[in-house]
Amino acid sequence: MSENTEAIVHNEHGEYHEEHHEHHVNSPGLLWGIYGGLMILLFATVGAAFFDLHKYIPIPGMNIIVMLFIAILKASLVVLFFMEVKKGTRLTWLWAGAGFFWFLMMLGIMFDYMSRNWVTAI
Amino acid sequence: MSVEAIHGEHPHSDDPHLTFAHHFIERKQQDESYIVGMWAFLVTEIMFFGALFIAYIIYRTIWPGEFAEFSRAHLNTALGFINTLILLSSSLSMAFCVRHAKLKNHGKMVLSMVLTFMFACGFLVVKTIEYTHKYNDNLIPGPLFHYTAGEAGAKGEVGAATEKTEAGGAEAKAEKSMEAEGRKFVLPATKGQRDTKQRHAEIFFSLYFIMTGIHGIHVVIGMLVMVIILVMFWSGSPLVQDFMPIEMFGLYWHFVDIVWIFLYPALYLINPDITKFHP
Repeated sequence: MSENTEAIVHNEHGEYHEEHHEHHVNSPGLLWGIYGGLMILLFATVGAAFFDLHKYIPIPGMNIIVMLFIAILKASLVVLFFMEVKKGTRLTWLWAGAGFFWFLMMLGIMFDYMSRNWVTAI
Repeated sequence: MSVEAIHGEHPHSDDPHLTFAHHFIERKQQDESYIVGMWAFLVTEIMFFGALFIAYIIYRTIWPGEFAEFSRAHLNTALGFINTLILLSSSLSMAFCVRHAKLKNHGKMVLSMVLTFMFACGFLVVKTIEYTHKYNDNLIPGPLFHYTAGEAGAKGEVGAATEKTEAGGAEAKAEKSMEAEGRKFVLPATKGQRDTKQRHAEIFFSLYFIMTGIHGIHVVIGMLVMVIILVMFWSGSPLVQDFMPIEMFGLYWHFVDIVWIFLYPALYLINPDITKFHP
């Protein structure tokens, strides 16, 4: 157990059970810390919308790239800590990863579709 | 060989946090099954919302300048910000609710869940204010839909690039007559009757209402589940003495929060400057 976590060891009849009865519990410090991080990132998202980031980094659509990157950071914090995937089993990682992987596949198909120039303005 | 002999432990302990069903080897396996089952459901939810985001990306790629104008003219960044703040806070209170459920602090657990419920109410109040504005501005897709540029469009910074694509002549006349009629019911516009920009705006607001609406329905379903959990807890149901149902609901609630994390920059924070690079 890391310093950020606590373990409840169920104590029946004054004896400790084996380790597999521990439930992972997030400490209040960790939860508030993640919330603070989410707040900072929220302000960063709004900030990114009001500055022309293209002036500094000449890539088309730089603002939305930065904002989506921040959104991915925020979602990662929520998934890893609030949803406790970080302390989850390998099977949990596999399923959480499956959702992400599926979305990447769909994006890939979308880019393929768009690169064929089949999507045109109406 | 009896079940107890295999496991060396009673599957039905006095402690609800240790109880597990007879078809599981141990409590840990049951917990993992719960979590994996919930994630399997969340993967289907990712597919569901993912398809909507893909539709949005495709249309925004076709009309980036117009989408920026529609968003700037009629979507309130401040209200979206407040809602993001509310949902992130509700995620924190939900995480605390799961913590207290695991620690068997049932009083604090109920308090955290009630707080989460209140945040959800706040979210819906802000959403109602936003939807009311859209309704008053005739921005509900359908026969009454009529887009007017609003404050941001009046500045002419954004709209200029897209005006070239607008159809003139008869379409403009039809628009004027619709304007004169105000909110009076008109037949759904057929192709050509309504100018191009109107149809583009209608698609933008259709996407807006579908994406935020389905997200809102998820919030309402979450609130119903919270009420059910609280009623079951107060009536002493053994099902919610265990912390796992609350942890499962927590996963759902955090997922709803994540969807909004992406909806906010996608819909509310479109920087108009992108029109310079995607005319």
